[in-house]
Amino acid sequence: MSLASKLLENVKSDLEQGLLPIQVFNNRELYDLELRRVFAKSWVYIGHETEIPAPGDYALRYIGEDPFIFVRDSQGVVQVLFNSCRHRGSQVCRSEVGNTTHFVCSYHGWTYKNNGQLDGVPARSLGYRELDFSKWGLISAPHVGNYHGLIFANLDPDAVSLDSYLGQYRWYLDIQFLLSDGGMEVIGQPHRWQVDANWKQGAENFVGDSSHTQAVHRSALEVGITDSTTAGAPGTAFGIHVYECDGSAISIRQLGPDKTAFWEYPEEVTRFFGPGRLSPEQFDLAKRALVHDGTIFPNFSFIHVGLTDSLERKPAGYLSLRVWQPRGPDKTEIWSWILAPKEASDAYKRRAYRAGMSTFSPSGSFEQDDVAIWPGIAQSARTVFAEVTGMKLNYQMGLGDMSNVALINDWPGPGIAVPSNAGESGLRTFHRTWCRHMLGESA
Amino acid sequence: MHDESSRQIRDDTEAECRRFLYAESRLLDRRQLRDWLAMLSPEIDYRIPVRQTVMRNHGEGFSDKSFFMEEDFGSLSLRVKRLESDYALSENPPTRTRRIVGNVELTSMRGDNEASVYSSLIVCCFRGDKPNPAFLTAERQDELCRIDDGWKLKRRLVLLDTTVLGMESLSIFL
Repeated sequence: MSLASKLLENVKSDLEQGLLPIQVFNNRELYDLELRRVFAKSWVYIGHETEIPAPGDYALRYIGEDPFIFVRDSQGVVQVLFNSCRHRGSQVCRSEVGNTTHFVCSYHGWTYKNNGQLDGVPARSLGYRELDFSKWGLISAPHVGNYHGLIFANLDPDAVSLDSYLGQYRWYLDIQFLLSDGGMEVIGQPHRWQVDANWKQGAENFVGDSSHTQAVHRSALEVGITDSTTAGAPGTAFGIHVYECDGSAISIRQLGPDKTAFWEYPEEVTRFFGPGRLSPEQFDLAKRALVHDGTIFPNFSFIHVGLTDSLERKPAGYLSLRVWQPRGPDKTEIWSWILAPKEASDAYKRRAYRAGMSTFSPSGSFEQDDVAIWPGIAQSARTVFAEVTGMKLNYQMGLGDMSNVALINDWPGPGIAVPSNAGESGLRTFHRTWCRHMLGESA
Repeated sequence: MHDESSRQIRDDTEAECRRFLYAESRLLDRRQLRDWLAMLSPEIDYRIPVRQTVMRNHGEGFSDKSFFMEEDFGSLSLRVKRLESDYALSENPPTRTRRIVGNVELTSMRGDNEASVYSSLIVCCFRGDKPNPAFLTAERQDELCRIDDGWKLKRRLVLLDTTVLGMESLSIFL
């Protein structure tokens, strides 16, 4: 029996005890299974519709390691098309972004409309008289869904709808995306960078790893980039963890009920916020929010926060979205985008961008220290010693009697809420969801 | 006579700018970041735009909205302050860098005290036990100004050759 099969056989009961075999962070066999059982069977984030506002706008994106064209066709419909010519398989789009009415394969000239339909082949009347154009278009992702501008695709023809996949977790997503009538808008282009670590590392970090902040981000705290309300030691003062929310989790830091924070967005921005598209309870969480961060399985995460790039300027609220793009069992390409409310002034969007770039990006004061740690985990995960000793990692923080904090009975949102972030419940939720996919129990 | 003296001024200025860039890269390689800050004008505008692969008719692919760094003196000072902490994990243990600045050309002058300078930069970044460096290469477009008899860096645009950073963080200056 292979290491991977043995591991999958026991991982469910391991997780019940808050344990996780370290090999999940670097094992070729597991990774190859993940590409098929996770990435080909989940709703994977493609991009935000504000990245391709005009008909013909496109950008290249990936599902697992497979290349797709994220394009708004001439009718304005968002398409996710496999970037591979039906004739010989070469890539019909060789530019990362642009605008086009047609994708023309450079090899023999097969030409497709920007909705994927085959529109022309060379020497049709001489060599392709019987070719049925309706059958030889670019292959679309079987399902494409839009949630408040977030475009996801699912390669599984039998997939449940995006709404059911997100389930009750939409309640928390709505808080991030429906604050103002215009919603959130992507500023500019994504950062992309590669780290020698497994894709799940970032996903689990963002889903509610609140106790790493005081250690890994000590330098950012020391120099005053933020204070102990927004970051710092885990505990019951500001932190709430919500877990087992239809397979997802969120970490919340917030002020008391009478306080207003709105992730440090200034009044010039918050005046566009209103409870119009949110329930009063959702709006109240937004009003008190210092930090919201979470992950949608498998590899899409967000952090909504207010931070600064300079001690001479006040913190500014922004929303960071990211994709933990798998590139191998021990390699991840991180994609990150910075968003601000659409109604905000151009000047505020510049301010939000700089606050985001200087904190959560490859040069970010917070992010660069996270990522510095992760390659070491991938290195440990592939060791023979970990294998022969059956090394399992400890995800027990806050599990069962490890914590004496009672759950919040009257929590207004879905999921299980605990009034402390000294725990790893969100990470356990994430890995349980992973486990269900790997064992083929995803529904 | 006039041509010859202006040519001499250009040659002298280009040599001074080249020496400035060499000295700067020595300070950065030795991680003397405070001394590096002292080489910057208080009005420094420092940018490393995000780049994307685009067809030739779409230009060079540099973003005017997105940056790996988009800095002024205050934000660079805060970066340096944080990097000085023993807990700045991305740089402790530090990236060992070797910067090669080449192809330095004075592209234009405004008066005697402002110079635009083109240069090519190669930075080899060694981290941990990896025997092979990550490379960053770029064109730099700098504007230097003379303040109190010394040159300062007033504007820098770093045009990377890569679109995807092949390293886990950009925790050094280019």
